[in-house]
Amino acid sequence: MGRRKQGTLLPLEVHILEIVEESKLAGRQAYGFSLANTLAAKGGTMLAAHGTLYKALSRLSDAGFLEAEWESPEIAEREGRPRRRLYSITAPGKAALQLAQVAPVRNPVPTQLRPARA
Amino acid sequence: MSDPRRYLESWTANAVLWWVTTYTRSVPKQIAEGRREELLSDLYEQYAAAASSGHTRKAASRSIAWRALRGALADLRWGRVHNQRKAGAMHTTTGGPEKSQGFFRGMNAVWTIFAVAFVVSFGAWLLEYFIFNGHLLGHVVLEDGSGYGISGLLILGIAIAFVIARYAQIVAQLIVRKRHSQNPNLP
Repeated sequence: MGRRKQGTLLPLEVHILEIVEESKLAGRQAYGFSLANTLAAKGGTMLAAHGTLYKALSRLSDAGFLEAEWESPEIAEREGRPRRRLYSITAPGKAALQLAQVAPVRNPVPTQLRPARA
Repeated sequence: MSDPRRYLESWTANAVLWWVTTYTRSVPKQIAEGRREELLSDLYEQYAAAASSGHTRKAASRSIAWRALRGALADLRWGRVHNQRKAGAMHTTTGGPEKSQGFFRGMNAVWTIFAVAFVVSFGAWLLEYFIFNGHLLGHVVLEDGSGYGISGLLILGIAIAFVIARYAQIVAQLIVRKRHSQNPNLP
């Protein structure tokens, strides 16, 4: 697989942004496994690999398209499970998603995908 | 399947968490801990989802192992990017010599080779026992008739080499620190 052109969204990243936005509209939380599950259900494929999924989430967060926030430990403790890292889409993320949806996903769309932090 | 929290102690979950510790070894601590906690949550959620949909623990473990294996290269790339950022930050803040960065890069290459070798042999082991029922790579049979699978021996060999390399690195670091404490002007 060749190195991708800098500043482009991969189809997986576009799908992640779509799912995070849909989850927000539906009042559901978006976290790692829920995203893997929805991606698999939508695409009719197997669950996304850990490395592929979390690398994409890390890249989208670094670019400022997603905001990641840890769930309150009290909620996780009450439900008897490890706490989740919850993702929400930001305004630049929505703009990048709209831009990507205009063009076919197969052709990556140039967007400002660079680390937001200095 | 009963309580999915129990399965976080399973061999598969432990192997995945060991892998996370391995590829996050040289990334900043906070980021490494975040990745580990996120994976822990993912493992739990997958076991819980399998339990609620009537899948067996074995099927869930197989799917988890396959997800980890398929994403191993992406994990290594992610770790490398964060490590480069850390090295860049260290260089900017301390003005450290290029030589020490070269050393870190060299050591990272050694750990990466070990990690790749482990993933490949682990994949061979999975294929051997889950698909080929122990007939893919064969066995080494000793004079007394006892046999050992080649893939298992491969993993054991890599683990032994890893431990030796790790100890060699610790000894080398101790020697360098001792020299530095005796003469701080040394490179």
